Amino acid sequence: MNNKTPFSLKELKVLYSNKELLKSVLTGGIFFFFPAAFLGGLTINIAPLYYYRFIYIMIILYLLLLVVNYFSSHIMVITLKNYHNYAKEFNYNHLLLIIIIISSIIISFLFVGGMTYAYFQGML
Amino acid sequence: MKKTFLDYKNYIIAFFVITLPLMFISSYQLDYSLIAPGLINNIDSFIIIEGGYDFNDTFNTTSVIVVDKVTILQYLLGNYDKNVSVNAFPKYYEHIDLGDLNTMDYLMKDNSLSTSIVVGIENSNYDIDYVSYLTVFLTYDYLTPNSLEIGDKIIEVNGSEDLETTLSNVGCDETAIFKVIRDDEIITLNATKNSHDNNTCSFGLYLRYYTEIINKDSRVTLDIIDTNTGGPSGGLMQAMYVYYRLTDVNLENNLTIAGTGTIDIDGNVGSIGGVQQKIITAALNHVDIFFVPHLSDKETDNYIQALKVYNTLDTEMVLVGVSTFDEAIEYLNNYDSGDLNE
Repeated sequence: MNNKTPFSLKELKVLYSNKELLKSVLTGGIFFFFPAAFLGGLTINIAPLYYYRFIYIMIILYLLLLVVNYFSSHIMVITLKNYHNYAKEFNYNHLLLIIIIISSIIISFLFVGGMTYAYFQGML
Repeated sequence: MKKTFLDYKNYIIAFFVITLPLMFISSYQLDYSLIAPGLINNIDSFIIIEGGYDFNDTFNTTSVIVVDKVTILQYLLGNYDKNVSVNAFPKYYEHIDLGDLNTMDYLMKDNSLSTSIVVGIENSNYDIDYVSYLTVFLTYDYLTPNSLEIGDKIIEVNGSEDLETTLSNVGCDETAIFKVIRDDEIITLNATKNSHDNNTCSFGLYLRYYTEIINKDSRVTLDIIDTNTGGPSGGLMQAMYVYYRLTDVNLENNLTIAGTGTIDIDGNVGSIGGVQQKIITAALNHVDIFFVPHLSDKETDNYIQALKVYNTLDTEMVLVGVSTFDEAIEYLNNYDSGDLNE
């Protein structure tokens, strides 16, 4: 029988201090930023050589960013657990899912926006 | 936070061991440039002619990607890829500001647009008034300081309007007086023809004619939309597009027509760089007819170079070598599907 509390922002703020939440987000952000910057740098290098495959290069970048996002979200939740582990009371999987969904929506929004801009600039 | 970093220490170390060398080779720049296949641009997206004759063939310019200073990674990938050409910087690059090359590219693009509009309109029997100035397209670092600048339009040299003859008659280490138009004002400047180590001498200027449209037939309404591409190589195709929009010729073959080549005010086609990558770009974009400058039978001729690349491609595109606007028009007017390379 599952007695875990469903995820809520209010519950999260009760269990963790603002400083702990901020540090967890920062840790996840660092684990996202470096691989994402590396992938971005590689794309800038490779895209001019294979410009006629630009859309495919961008789709690959987008998919890789989603993978990095999954990993960094996981790190964010693990950092929280390292502060206090409320696994018996709190549904961390639910939290992880919410973080991944929200950040994936942001990445997808940026991808679609970037592609739309590129289309109207005649780059596609 | 600290515990997380310690728990994932091995991942972090592995990440930096793998990525640091890659980051280095993808950021350190070499004195090489590369040309890679680009894209085709439908001319009706940037030359807008109101009214005019409609047709279902499309006219396209062909762009390639040029990277002036490649990274080590680009150098390695470019040398591995047969579609990409990597070349050491020409010697004259030592004497120019690389940023000026972009400025020159956009000047050339503007000039090719106005020249092609003049050629297209004149050949379709409408009236157009224009003026051509010998203009500074690029300056070298040995040009007399505080003298001519990119974009200056030369109207007199040493009091003479016969510019080319007068410029060539200026002796080494002699100073010439230039009367130029800059920002709509006429100013006078001095520049010296400098001697070089190899017993040559020059002012440190790259000059070309720049066409300005003064007035055109009121029946022709056209608008130019700014694009991200530079360079003069769209001249021929742009002139053809303008001509066919203003001339009643049946172009209903549903063809994708593309090409490359500069155009001068007399309708002569000029050669361009990166022709190999342009042929590849055209084939990748399923172009049906591709026009290329064919000015001689030498190995360096654009058509001869293009044909070599063309023979390695699996494409049904027809390659047409032309030296004038009239030849290109004549080919299309007499086009019959199934034509072979000319």
